[in-house]
Amino acid sequence: MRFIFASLLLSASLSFGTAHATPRLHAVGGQAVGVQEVNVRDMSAWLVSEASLPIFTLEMAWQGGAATDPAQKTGLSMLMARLMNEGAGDMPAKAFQQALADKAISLSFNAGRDEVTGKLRCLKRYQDACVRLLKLALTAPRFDPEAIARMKQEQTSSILRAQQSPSALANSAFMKLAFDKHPYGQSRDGTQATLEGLTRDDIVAHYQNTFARDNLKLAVVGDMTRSQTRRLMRDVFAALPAHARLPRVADTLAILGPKTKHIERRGPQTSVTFGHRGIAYDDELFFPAFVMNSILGGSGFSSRLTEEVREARGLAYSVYSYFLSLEHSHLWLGSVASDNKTTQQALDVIRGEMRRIAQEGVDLSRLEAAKTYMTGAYALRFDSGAKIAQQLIGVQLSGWPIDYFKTRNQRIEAVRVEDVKAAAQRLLADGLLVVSVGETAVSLAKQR
Amino acid sequence: MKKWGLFLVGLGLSAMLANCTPVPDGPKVETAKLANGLEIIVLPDPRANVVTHMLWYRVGSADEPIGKSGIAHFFEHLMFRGTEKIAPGEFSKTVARLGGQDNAFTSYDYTAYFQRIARDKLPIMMEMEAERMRGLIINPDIVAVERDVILEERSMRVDGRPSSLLSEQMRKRLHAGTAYSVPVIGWRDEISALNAADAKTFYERYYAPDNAVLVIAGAVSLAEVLPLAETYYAKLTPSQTPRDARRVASDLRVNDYATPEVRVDSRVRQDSWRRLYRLPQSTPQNRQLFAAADVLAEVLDGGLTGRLYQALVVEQKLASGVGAYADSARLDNGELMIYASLASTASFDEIAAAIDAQIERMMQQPPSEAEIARAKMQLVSSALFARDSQQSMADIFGRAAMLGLTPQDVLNWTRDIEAVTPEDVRRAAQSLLRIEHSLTGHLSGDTKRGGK
Repeated sequence: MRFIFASLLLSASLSFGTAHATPRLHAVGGQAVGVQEVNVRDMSAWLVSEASLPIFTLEMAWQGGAATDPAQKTGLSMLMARLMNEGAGDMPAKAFQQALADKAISLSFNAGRDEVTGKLRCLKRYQDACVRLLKLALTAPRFDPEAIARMKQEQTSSILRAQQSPSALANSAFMKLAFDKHPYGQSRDGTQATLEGLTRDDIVAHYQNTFARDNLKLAVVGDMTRSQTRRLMRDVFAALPAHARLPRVADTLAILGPKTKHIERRGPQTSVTFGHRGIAYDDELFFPAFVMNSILGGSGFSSRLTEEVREARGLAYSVYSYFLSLEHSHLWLGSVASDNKTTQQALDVIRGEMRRIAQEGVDLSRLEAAKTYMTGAYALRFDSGAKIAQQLIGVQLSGWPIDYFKTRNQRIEAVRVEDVKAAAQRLLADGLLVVSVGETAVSLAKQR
Repeated sequence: MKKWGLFLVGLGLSAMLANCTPVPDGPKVETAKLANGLEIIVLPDPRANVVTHMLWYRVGSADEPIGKSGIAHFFEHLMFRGTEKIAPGEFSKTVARLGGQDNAFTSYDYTAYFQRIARDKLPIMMEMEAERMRGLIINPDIVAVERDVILEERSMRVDGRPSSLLSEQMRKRLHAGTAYSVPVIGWRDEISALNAADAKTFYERYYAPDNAVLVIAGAVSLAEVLPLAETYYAKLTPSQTPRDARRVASDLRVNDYATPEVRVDSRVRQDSWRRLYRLPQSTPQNRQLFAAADVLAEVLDGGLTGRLYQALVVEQKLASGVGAYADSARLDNGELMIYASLASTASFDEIAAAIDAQIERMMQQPPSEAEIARAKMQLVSSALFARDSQQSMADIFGRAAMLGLTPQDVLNWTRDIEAVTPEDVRRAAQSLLRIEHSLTGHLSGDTKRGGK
């Protein structure tokens, strides 16, 4: 029965539809959840204090991330993140991991494109051990040669596994075309060659430059009071250096098409990633664009792409689009996988829907349905402590103020039909970049 | 299948109410049953003003007629394709328009449908879910389009993924002669031949209140839910045709177990090794054995602190990753799986030998008290962490109900785990990890390396 409790994701079950991981920045929006800001010296944390279960979650993020990896050292942030729970203080990896496991503490780190993140989950009754081990990990990581070699091996596996997945191949080829030499064009895992070349000195230097206070965002959710949060911040994070020392990453615009690239791979389907430039948060058309995408390809079973590609024609199981807003650029991306014989047709239908929404806009009832979906479903992102913590950190990383949870739905409500059309016209103009992985090289030839 | 244990006669309704024996600091679980056989489980969680409404049916791919593989999953898709009152495609759109999300899933032993939505929309969800339990319209044109969608799904999940193809072939051999030898999604040629008549037969037999369990988690109580369930679900007529008993393997030996299932495919970049052990059927009589199996898998896996990781990744450097888990939550024979990603210098034979050595050690000596304590800590706390998510809770109790377990059994699981001794774990290894009950698989991108 362990399976019942601990491994829900491994279940041998099939879903009616795919659950798309919504990129963090668009997963945010508005419901009042009782968020308070806690300030200690130069540090700030967002807290939701809720003690009905004796557990708490801490989400941490340091701005920087894989975009700050030097070109010849790609994969550095990711390797460093993998090593942050592999031994600290006088405890080598095994002893440190046993100390965590003995108290059911979960502590993990990851590297995003623009930030390194950490996540800590604790039982309230082991709060002291939890805080002590976190502090040790953050202030005295060991970076033992044994652990470095082992994590390089793990990261190599991750690189190889991504080469097995048609959709991952299509996505990474897309990023390379869209960003060329800019760091966003590189894989966060790096390449086998760059990984090989990373030294302990590289990792230590990157650690010292990354984990500081002026690039830190914190979210605390669960059985923690305001004063306990202040103490946690003083005890753990005050020990970090005041300033991060990372290279400045240049703002950039994605390179546009129209352009296609094909990667030949044997298999029944061709997997396609398509996209454009996206839109910045501070753009006045951001919320109209957000709503427009929900109608076009962002709302799962209700989207036009699902209606036309899947429901009406049976051309794919999964088709969707989303905005990817990065610190220094932005994209609008979409994905579909279809039988080799119907891949071109699927892409043509998708492009037809893009043209339709840009030329005709949407009618009022469709807009209202999109709004009630987006504003109503926002609450579903706040029904567990773990999810709330993700929202709190995501909103901070996006640079929104703390009242965003209240204003997000109002901004969606304010979108008008003409705004949706304007957003579609600006964003879905010609210039699509398309990468196909499979047996069908798709074309962007003019249709009809 | 067991029935609910602790009934109290309730409220003069046609329903029976029950409460589980509370576990100190445990979750609140409320149960009831309608006169037409529909069982109800409510998991109150007032923290957010939303609910998870799930309807579970006691039918899965393992109940399909011979030659009709895939019909259970295919049928799940058709449930979104229209009733008298709900036009094709409108089910999910209506849920979305009301600010909710919906989906469904099919497994060997069950099929479940769910919506997640604001609490005040619960009556509409019930009305719609009840409508499609008995009032589905099966339109042959839509059946044809949906069959194409499912073939695309099979291409995406299985036919384009060498790893999935290997697992499918392994289970075909491991569970030969029983229903789990057939994949949930179905064999491609059999899916292609499914039609509206097959769907109708399947629907009429299994989609009925006496074959279903309603699970609602979130900002509601049974007192609020029951009158609504009476309004929407009580009028549905039972089918009184539960699924047939299945063939369960009691002799667990696997034919030709010493010959690995090998898949060599140039698309593979990261070679991997896996082994599936066929487990005995889980019953009320052997629950301590299965609790010991959970601890056993945790001692073996246990992330970085587990024995397999320490031996294969840290000490011998044969693998970049390794793990184990027991999937005993099955109606028939469960599985215990061990898997490893090969380091570039390692061979399949070396991996197998290293893992066999760890299993042999498990059979010879009981694990240390510290290992047992750590494994129990992980398992018991997972039950507490699960309570953070109403969706996980609905999933856990719904799945348990499909396996004939009561909510009380679920609540007792942590006590079963606490009772496991080191000697229990050793005995579980001896009885469950026998090589003749297993099948090994190799996935490789290199023809020369594939077999060894």
